[in-house]
Amino acid sequence: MSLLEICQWLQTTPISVSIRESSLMFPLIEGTHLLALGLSTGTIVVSDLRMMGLVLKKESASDVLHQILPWAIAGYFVMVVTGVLLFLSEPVKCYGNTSFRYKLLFLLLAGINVAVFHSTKVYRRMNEWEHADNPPRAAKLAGLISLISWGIVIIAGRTTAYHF
Amino acid sequence: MWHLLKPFFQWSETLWVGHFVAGNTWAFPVIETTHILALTVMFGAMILIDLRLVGLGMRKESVSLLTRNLEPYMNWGLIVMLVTGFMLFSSEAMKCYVNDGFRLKMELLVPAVLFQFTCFRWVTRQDEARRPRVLGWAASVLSTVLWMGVGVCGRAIGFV
Repeated sequence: MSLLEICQWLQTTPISVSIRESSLMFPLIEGTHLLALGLSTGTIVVSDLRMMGLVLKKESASDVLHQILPWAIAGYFVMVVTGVLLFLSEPVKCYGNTSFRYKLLFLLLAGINVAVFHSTKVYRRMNEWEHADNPPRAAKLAGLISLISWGIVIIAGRTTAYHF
Repeated sequence: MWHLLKPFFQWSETLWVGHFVAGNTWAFPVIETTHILALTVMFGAMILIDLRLVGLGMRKESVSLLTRNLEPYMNWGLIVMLVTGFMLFSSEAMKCYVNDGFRLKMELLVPAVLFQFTCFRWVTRQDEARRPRVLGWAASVLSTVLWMGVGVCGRAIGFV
């Protein structure tokens, strides 16, 4: 079964049909997706800026990160659930959509960035630099990659709706 | 009240910026995307302050410290949203005039902006030890509900 065939099959599933045929479901799910974006990506932006040493500079980096993270993860969970539902309502359209492919690609990059940064010494030994005026280069880089990849995820997500 | 504003909608549609956005294939998507990026920055900063006002999220920092650090992001996000929002609006002002989603969005946006720059500012600048807890709760709940309403109604404009 090819990826396209899987998408075609998904399109015939009851959940896909019911979201597509309801006039309220899609807007409601998309509205929730947007609010979760504010909660998740919005707070991720603040933690990225802290990793780059640009905001809340005098507060401990690990305090900032670990207080924000649960909320970012909660929002992320809502985004994934609503995002999967939105995708399920029109999988074939998404399959052929260039913006959507970029969105998935940069979501993956954002995920890899987190995994890599969390396995570095810089992350594990955050207590050694959390009060430093200038965060280590690895932390700055991880913050920057996260900012850029989430920015592209949002741009590609928004443009998925347009037909250029 | 709404129909009294009709001349403003008509005037907005005559502006060059509206003509530019309406006449250029790429303008609307690019400006709309900027609008959403600014939303992310503004909401993120605001939610962290709202959560802190009710004792959640970044509890190790004081409300005033958090506000001092995050308010610039909140305000600049809002300014970018207002500018890009008006550009989008002026490209289809009369369509917005008859759109219930847009109307409700404006009915929430005006109080939200007024609230954010008066009551919210005042509450977040108070001495936490002396401020009645209910004030923090009220400011947090009101700002969250108003701005989420603005966001949801904005999303609804394209659907109603």
